[in-house]
Amino acid sequence: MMSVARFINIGAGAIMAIGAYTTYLLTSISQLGFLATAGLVFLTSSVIGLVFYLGVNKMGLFDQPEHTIEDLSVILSYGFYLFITGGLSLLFGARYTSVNVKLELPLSLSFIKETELIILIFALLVASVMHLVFISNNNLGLKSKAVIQNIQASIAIGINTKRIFAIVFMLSFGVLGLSGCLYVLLYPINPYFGLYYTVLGFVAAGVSGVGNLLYSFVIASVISILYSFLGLVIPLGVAIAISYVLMLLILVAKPEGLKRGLR
Amino acid sequence: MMEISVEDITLRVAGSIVINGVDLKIPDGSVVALFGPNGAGKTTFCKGLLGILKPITGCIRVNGYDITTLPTYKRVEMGFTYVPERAGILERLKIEENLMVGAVRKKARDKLYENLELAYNIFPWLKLRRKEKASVLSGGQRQILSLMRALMNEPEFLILDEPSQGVSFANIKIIYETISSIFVKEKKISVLVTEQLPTYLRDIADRVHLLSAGRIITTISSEQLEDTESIWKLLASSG
Repeated sequence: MMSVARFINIGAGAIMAIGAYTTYLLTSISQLGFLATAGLVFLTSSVIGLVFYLGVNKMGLFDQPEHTIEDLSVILSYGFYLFITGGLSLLFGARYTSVNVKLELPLSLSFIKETELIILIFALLVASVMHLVFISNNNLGLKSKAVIQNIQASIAIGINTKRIFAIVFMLSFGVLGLSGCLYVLLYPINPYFGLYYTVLGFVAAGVSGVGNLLYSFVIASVISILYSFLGLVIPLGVAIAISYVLMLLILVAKPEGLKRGLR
Repeated sequence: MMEISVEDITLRVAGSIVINGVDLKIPDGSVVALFGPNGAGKTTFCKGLLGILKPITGCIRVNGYDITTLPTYKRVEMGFTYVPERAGILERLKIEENLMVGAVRKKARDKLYENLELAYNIFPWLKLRRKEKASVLSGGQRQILSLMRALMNEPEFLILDEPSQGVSFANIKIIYETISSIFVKEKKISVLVTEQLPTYLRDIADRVHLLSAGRIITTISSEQLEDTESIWKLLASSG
């Protein structure tokens, strides 16, 4: 998503961790149900996204040429990752923590677990919002598509690109925070659990072509399924290493990604 | 109603001064042309007017109000609409999406489908090919698409940067006829057009400023453009 703003985010794992630990805190100190907790996590992560955007914008990042934004964003997001994961380690320790979440689904289905159903509902919800914002032809969708393609041309048309960037940062952080919140339904957490998903996102964006949202989504889904199957026969670390090698081979053959992205 | 006044504006690109102390007035409903060779500063001037480039000195006024520090999107909301050189279309968007994205002003979004139909009536091929990617269009077709995208924004001040660039002679004629009939005669909006081909300016411009090396060297009437040879001599001697 953040590639709309030419921001290559390798700090995604840290935002997931923020979402997961916010869930942990909320469920520890309050009796909130899961839906309210998820809403608050989304809101908190979005606000952090907005603050982060305002900070990097104040530094003049988005006044730079597009390739400079891409280069600097890698350093900035990595710094953010180190800062957040380090901070969370200091606060909560590096050990794995289980989070007890109160689920309150009004219906139960025999063929799917409650947690899986919730994750599926949220995934569909996020996909719908993404479609509305980045793919459909409403006012915001069209502007986002224009900005993804050419920032300078979009400015010349009269699109307020910085408002689009702010929305993108808020949504990206919100969705990543939410995914951290959903993660706690399945696994215990530690501050570094998001690294694997950062790698997954990085490979998906690299292979599909930066700025190609739909293709990135498809590639990420394919890679996730492959990981799941590979995980049965080889260690996860080896599977990640294989995906890196595959990404490098694809990028050597097609530097712009499988489908033409921004470049 | 929109009267534009540019006072002593100086613009810098990559450390070099490209526009140097230019004064220019565009009265309401008039067509003013900037005529000059490559590198004279025509595109830089357009970008300065639109707020993409910030001036080092001078100011830009609309109906007397200073808009020098306004960002581009606010100027577009006021009615400024830009047709960049080589059209500046979004190649990976469909033709219809390119048109729709041009409706940036609030009043333009309210009349989105009305203006879309208007554009399709003026150039029916746009409707026939509306689902195609804009990347398949020729230079002239891109320029027409860009012009119709400008129409979608309900412009009050149109900035046309070399609409003839990269376009066949047949299409240049169509483009200038559209500018004249739709924007000048029917909508009666203020227009700034930059060019290095004098032929089509004669029929459309009220006044022509000759631009060379970032300065306006003189102002002539459109009839005086007939004497092409002396104009180019004048531009060459001042460059």
